[in-house]
Amino acid sequence: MKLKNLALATVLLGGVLLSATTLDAHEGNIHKKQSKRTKQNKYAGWYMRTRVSAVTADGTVYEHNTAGVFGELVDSKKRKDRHDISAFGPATLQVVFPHYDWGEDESGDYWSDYRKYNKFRAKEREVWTFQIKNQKDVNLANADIKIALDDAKILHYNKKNGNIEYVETGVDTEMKNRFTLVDVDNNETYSIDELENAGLTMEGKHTRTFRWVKGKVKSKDYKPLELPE
Amino acid sequence: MTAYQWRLVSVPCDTGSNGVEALLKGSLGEYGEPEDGGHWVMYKQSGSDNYETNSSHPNTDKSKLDENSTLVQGISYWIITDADHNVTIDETLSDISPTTTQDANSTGVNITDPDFTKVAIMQLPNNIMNVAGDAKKYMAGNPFPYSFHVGNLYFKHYTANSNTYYPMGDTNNNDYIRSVVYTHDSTDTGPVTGYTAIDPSTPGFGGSIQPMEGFFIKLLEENTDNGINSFAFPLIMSNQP
Repeated sequence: MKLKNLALATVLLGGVLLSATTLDAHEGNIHKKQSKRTKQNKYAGWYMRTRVSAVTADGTVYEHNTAGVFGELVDSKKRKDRHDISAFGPATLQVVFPHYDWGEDESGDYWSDYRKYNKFRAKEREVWTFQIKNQKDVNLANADIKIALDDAKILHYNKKNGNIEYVETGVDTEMKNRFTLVDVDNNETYSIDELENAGLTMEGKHTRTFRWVKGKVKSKDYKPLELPE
Repeated sequence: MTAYQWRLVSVPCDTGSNGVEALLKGSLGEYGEPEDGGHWVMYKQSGSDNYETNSSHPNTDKSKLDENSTLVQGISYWIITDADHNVTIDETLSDISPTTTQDANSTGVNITDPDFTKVAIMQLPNNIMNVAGDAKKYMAGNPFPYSFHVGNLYFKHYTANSNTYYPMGDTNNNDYIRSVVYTHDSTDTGPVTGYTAIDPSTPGFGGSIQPMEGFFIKLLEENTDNGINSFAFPLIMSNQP
């Protein structure tokens, strides 16, 4: 006990640097925490992350680091569930899934949008609507934006004390090729390969609306998002 | 810290009777507003037990610390400075001591986790709110100079029928606290964009709380249940700052 206190005090008195909280450290911890797949693991679904960056005229790059996550999980629902994470506060730049169709209590923007995984419907068409929002501090209305999609992370799960614990067990490098980006504001579509040179901008706006479409794009995918007055 | 960027900070030790200016003046300079010759200020949440709700304490209700304000472990404070800094607590001050811990398997705690053996217990606001469906947004903070994974943070809602700590993300906590916590995404290396979510139960949202880092939690409305909420913060000394 004394040794531990002494060690603690040594670190403390040596000065605790308030250094940057790095997302690399966060990701590293995920892997540390979720690296084991056992024979008991069962397939649990997948997720992907939408990466968005905005570049201003002076070359400054803005990114939001944890939002834009979507996928399918065995314990999720089509409507709001515990894996749909609410957006928190305004941001210079963030990627949100707008769900003003989830009733008064759950209506709002979300940083993740998970749906129920069903292996019998795994190849069916799905659509996720997302928005890029610039809400404070820096005006990004004239910024160039780049949208990218990370490879799908494959998930298995364990049951522990009645809880489902998800484990990342691999990467599906092909899945994202089944997605098309729909620029709802401009009635344009882009394949994954076209995104790098799509030349997208915020077009003088503080909110831009897009859809990820898995499978065939239909005319209704171009319809503007209906938001409350 | 980056100039003019708000950070959520906590103290990683018991700072005793020392005022905030004495603790941080060595690295940040004079405390106070620029017009008073100061270089940095700190704010805390307002209300009798320091939280915000959508209905009664909006997030604009903060109170500014004065230079002699003492700091409380387990909560966090907003801080802003007028220049870039590394922040160190003045180690020459008296009345500074390591955070008090107890055994994770001691009576009333009873946590068995292979990642740690010591915890610091910190009480949280209760779940009583005037408006159905409301939530208390509370600024918690890391009380140790070591990081911890949010999946190693334990929560208890104590009542006559419940006296068990469950890890964040466990469904037993669902009625009382959201599994997600929010840190403020303010880095030394890039533009601030806002908050970052960490949720140990949701793929894609894993993460850790760093030394001296604060974070928001959401306590859920349970209007007839005044059970005592608390965190058991894990002491994991292998997680070096």
